[in-house]
Amino acid sequence: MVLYKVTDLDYEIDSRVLFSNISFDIEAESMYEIRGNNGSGKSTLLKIIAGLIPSDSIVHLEDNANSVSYLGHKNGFVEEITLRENFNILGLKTNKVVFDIFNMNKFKNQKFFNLSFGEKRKAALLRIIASDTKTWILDEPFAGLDAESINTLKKIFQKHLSNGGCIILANHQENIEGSNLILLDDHA
Amino acid sequence: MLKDLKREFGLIFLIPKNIYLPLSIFGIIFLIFFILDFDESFTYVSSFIASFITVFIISENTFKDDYNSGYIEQKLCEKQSLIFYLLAKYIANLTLVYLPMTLIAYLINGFGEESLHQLLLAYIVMLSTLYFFFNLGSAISIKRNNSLNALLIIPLLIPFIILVEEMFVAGKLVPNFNFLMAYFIFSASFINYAIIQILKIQSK
Repeated sequence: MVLYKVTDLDYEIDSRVLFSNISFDIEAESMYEIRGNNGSGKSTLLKIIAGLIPSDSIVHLEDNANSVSYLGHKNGFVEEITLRENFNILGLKTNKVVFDIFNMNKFKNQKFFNLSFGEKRKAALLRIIASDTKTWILDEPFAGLDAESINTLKKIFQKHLSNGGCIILANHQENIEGSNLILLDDHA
Repeated sequence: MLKDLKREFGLIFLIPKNIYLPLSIFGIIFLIFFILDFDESFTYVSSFIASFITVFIISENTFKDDYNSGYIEQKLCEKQSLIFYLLAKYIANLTLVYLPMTLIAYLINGFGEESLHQLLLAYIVMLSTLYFFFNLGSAISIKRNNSLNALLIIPLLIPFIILVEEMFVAGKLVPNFNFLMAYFIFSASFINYAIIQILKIQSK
């Protein structure tokens, strides 16, 4: 089932062409990995797919309201309160199982600003995992994660796909097995 | 909507400065005017000036934290309604900040006994209108980290200031109360619509 259809997509910022004539379909139960060098437009393409940057070249074939979770470069949490309080005010599950995923149980009562970059990133990924959405749009989800957490996240991705989910992510780290590549180098 | 309300009320309760900061600013400005001991007609003006400055100062951060943390970008990408987000923010602030401010103004100033309810309502509507207008300034200046753009909003408020002065100082409730309601409806609808569009542009 096709979720998004992208046809001849062009985008430029301040007269600099980021990409041109890109066409692809995004289907359910699949993972799409947008790869490219720094400044190649990975994050921009994710924002276009998510609908933050409007474009006539993309058609949303499914009603994605309440079925998309998005994680950008920023984590979306309030710094002055604890991780558990952040989850509480967002109406997310705060049980042990959720926080155990990345061994975050010991950090749940710490103020968010006291967490390291990697821990904050794990917390933001937990929000995505704890949500019941089908489509995950993730910008550099492996950034700041240690090797063990990267492996855990890859397993979670596979589980999400086997449950009928779809993952679209920007990545410039190691390849993910079984993903569909969208390459943005050389104005693809 | 319930999710947004839970978040906004939660944030105000979990970060107490969100309540005590505006009330302290309001109280201190009021106290300064009280010590200066102006004549009776000026007490309403002082309450208006205190409200004006307080709402101006606190509205500067209305969206900044959510913008910097990426929360607004997340909401837009997840197709969640910004209308409910703004409404929840307004309801939380109205309940926990603006109603107490009105109470403080009433306790210090007193309002005319003959039309007490209407004046109290007018005061809350006045605070709400200021809140919406300064939020527009806050949304415009979200990236530049200054109040300059919020100051640009003030000329839009000149007719509003005149009618509030007529109502609270000259005591002419009719027709000024009706004009105030019109201003409120305009700010609650059009200004909030403009805020949503600006937040969308700023988040790209």
